[in-house]
This record gives sequence, C-alpha cells and structure tokens, in this order.
Amino acid sequence: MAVSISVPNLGPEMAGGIVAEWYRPDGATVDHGELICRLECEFVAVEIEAEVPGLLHHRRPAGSIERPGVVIGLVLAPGEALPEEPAPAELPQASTTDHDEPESAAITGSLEDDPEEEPAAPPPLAPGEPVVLPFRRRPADEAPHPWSAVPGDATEFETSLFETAEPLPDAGTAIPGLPLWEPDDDPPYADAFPPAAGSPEARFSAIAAEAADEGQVLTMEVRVSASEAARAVHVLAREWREFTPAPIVEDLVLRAFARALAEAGFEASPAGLTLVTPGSDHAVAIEDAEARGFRDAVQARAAGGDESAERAAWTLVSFRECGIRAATPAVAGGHTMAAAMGAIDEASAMSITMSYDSSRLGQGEAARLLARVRTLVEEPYGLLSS
Amino acid sequence: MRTTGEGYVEGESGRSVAVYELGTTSYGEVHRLQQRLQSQRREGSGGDTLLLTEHRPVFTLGRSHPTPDLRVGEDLVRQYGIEIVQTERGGDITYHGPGQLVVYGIIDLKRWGMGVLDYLTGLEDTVIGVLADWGLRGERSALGRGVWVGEGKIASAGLNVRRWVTMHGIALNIDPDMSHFEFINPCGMPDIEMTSMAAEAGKQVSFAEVAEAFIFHFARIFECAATPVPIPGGDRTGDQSR
Repeated sequence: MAVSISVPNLGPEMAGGIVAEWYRPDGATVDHGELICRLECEFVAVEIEAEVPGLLHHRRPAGSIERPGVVIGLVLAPGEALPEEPAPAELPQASTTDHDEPESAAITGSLEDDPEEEPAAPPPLAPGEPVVLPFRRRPADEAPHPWSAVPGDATEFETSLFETAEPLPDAGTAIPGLPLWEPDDDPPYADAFPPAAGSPEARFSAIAAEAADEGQVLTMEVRVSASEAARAVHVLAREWREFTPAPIVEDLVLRAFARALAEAGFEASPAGLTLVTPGSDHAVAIEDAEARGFRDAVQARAAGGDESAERAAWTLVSFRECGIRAATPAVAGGHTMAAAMGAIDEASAMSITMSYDSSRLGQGEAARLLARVRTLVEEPYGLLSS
Repeated sequence: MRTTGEGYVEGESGRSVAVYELGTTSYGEVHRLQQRLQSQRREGSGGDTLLLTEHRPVFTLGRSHPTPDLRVGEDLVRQYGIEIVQTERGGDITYHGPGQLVVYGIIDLKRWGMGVLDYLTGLEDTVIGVLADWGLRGERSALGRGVWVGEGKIASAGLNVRRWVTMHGIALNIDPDMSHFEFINPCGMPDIEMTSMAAEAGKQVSFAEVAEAFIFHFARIFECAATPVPIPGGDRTGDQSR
C-alpha cells in the first residue's frame, strides 16, 4: 500500500514550503518513524517521518518549492509498483478551509484508504509562476563548512540527535546470556514435555509454560552501554555539587528498573538498592523511585534511604565497585525479580542480570522488561524527569 | 506582581504549560534538554513545556545554513569565546548571550489545535505584549519573522517541528552585548540592524521582570495555564538580577 508524503499545511499564512533535504535517497528502504525529509517555511523546519516501512520514492527533488498538500514522495510496500503520478490538470485544488487544523494537515495519508481524496493537492507551480520565498537561501554551490557540528550525511546527523537505542530482539533469539536458549542435551523437563520438535518459538512456549507452572527462578542477562549514563551522572555531579550528593550510575539503573516495572504494571516501589563495596554492603530502600524527582531520589539514597531495605519490593545489587563482571542475583521470598549490575568495562559496557520468579513474570515479559531497562540506561536523559 | 496564567484555567482551552526558568546556561545543555522533552512529547509522555533561559555567548546555525554567515574571521569569534553550534531549527545564524531572554516551547500543537505558523505568530505577539509593558512598540516586518522596533530587530524566532511537537522558539534582546551581533549577518541578512529593550527604552531593564512578563503574555495570547515549576535544588544558576 503506497503512502503519500505531502507538504504539511502549517497555517493560513503559508504560501509554500521548500523541500529542504531528503535524508534518505530515492529508492532507500525506510522504517516506520524514520526521518526521511525536512521541509522549511518561514524559519520553521518540519521533520517528516515515514509512517510505514517500505521503499522511499522521491517525487520532488530537494530544493523544490511546493504548495501545501503537494505529494512530494511515496513510501511503497515491498514489490509494489510505483503509481502513476496524476497529471496536474487532473488534480483537485487543495482545500483552503482547514489549513490551520493540525489534524487536517496530516503529513502523510494512505492512497488506498482514501482514493477519492488523494492526492488532495494543487498542481505544482507552473513554469514562470511567481513564487514567494519567505527567506533567503545561500547559493547551493557553497561548500559545506567544516564547522558542521556532526560529520557525515543528514541521516547520521538526525540519527545522532534523535534515535534511541535499538530495542532488543525478541526473546529467545539473540539475547546474550539468555540461558534458556543454550543447547541442552538433557533438559530437566525432558520427561514432562515431549522433545521440542518444530520451531524455536514452540520450544520457547513450552519452556515458558512449564516455568510458569513450576515457579522457577530464571535468569537472563543483557549487555548495556553505560557511556551515556556515566556522562549524565558526571554532568549532574558537577551541576549539583553545591547542593546535592553526586549521583552514581546505580541511581539511573535503579530508576530504569523502577520505571520499566511500573510501565509493565508490576510493583515498583519501594525499590531496593544494595551497593557492594570492597569494605561493606550498603542497602537502602527508595520510595517512588520511578516517579519522584531524580535529584530527590539521589538525595534519599545518599541519606540512607526512605525506609528499611527489608521492605523493598525488589532489589538491584551493584557489584561495580568490586570489579565483578556479572553475577546472578538472588530473588527474595515474595519478590518478583532481582537484578544485578556488574563492572563497567573498557568499552564502557556493563552486564545487567535479572533473576525472576517465572510464576509471576512470563519469559516474554521479562525479556521486554530487560530490553526496556537497557534502552532507558543507554538513553538516560528520559530518566531525569519525574 | 501579576500571577502568570491567572484567569486561564486549563479547563477553558485545555492548554497548560509547565514553565522552567533555567537561569544562565550553556546552549548545549538546554539543546539536549529540548531534544529529550520533544522526544518524550512525541511519544505521548511528558507535558507541554516552556523553558526560559539566557545562554552563554553562542552563535547558532539553522539546519539549512551550516556555514556561519560571519562578518569577521572565525579566529576572532573564537578569541571572544563564542561557540558556534549547528541546530535543527529553521532560519539562519543568530546570536544568543547574556542579557537576552531565550524561550523554548515544547508544545504539542495537535493537542493545542493550532497551526505551526499561528504558534510562531503567537510567540511574536507575546514579545510585542512584553515590549508594550515597557512602552515600546513592537511590530512584525515584511523582512522576515521576528519582532522589530522601528528599523531594528529586537527578537528572532525559529522552530523545529516533528510530529507536530515544537522545539526552539524566540529570543528577545533585553540588554545583551550588542557588539557580538556585529560578528554576523543576523538571520543571513547583511543589512539588518539589531536592537535591544535597554537601547530602545533608554534605561536599564530587569531580566527577571521581562521573563515574568513573557510568561504572563504567553498565557494571555495562547489562553493557557502557565505554571512555574521550581528547578530541583531551588536555586538559579545564573545572575537574574539585571
């Protein structure tokens, strides 16, 4: 199903917009939500995302000036033929009554869903027709300047600014350290279940069902880049130095777990944190670790916690200071899960291991939870807001 | 002292905005904050937010104009300790520095039922309202977006919009070091003359009072509840006493 990319209508004052840049080349494969081009009009840059995955087709080149509603490109389904572009004379005039409503100025629209209305676009500007260009453009042949903040092409620029970490693949396929997918010639459940014939998915379901029945404590581990988290706590420590104890990476990881648990509908508070150091263990419990201000949570942790660690609903144990790479955390009675984080290695990565009660947390849920934690820790700035 | 947002309760227009006065900041840290807030807003979490700040000296470049339009050599700019930063907003080069109120709005315009250019016009109207409080007549100009007092440009605007969520905003010259504008062709226009509230009013203008007036007029223009939110820690990092 081809999905059109149109010039959005930014308001009644809009005479036209310039297709400032295609971030992806003609014919490129684009994913849902991926930035594909930028339009500019009157000091406003509008970023256009792909609404569906598919093959990108440019209908208007970068630099062209188009009226609102003009279809400047298409996203085609794999194998789909390129629809013929309507001749200008056949195109209806764009509506002028709904231009100031964002809802009516949808960036993209389905061709198949609404063939009667597509393309709701005026004809392209005829040769010689005057165009009001509300801002000055520098000559196109001017060489790019070495001060461009981010090297590389436009896609790299936007990717570096906006995109979050890739989510983990589906559970059971490629999560490093996921023990359930390690080959096991003599599985303990061999008597209870027939040999896992067929697809890995069937085996996965069988194992998950058995684990849920039996209430096993299962473990999975993920490698997480800690570079952004380390940078964030470094910056915050510098900004807060006169008012607040310095945050540590564990504060962010604890908050990531608390938020992921809360999002998944599990009990997230009080959150337990145990810092294992060469000299001793420090255990605290933090109330509302996922929702309170981050600075407030750091202060609470540094002050010894809000209440006794024994009251925590779940626990994160950090072995970072001891240089332990990874450890399997013990799940306390009545708890759903426990997590452990290891030392940060030379590549600024660390292992986060999660043990969970399979009668409370399904295997898929656990994988998604851990994937969410990884995303939050690798893109930690979203954790700083309450 | 006026209470910001008074008379515009959320129920009337459905609009509300949390206002953070960040004090003096580096451009980069607030830029990252904007990106984070815009990302959250796009994903449906977070709220509409207004960030008020004044930056340490920096020239920012629009996405389509990666080459700084300078009137002097780059070395001189560096000697003055002025950063040059590429951004994703529309428009051309502009200057930010102490004594300039910079306001960034992270607003979901779809929820506000508002077009992008209407929002930009509203920001300009907000500045025009602020200027009127100091007896100055601000106007729009055919020369381009922003606000002008007589022949001088006093406020510059530029936005980035993704999935109808805005970032960037408008910068109002209260009493910045105007000599820094001499290094550039502001907004890419070589003949443009920049001015400030202090220059036009012929007296000192309080940054804090202008910031307060901006919030008030923003709430008035956009018919929204504007709620100042204290920064964790409670202390502004910059000097707001001018």
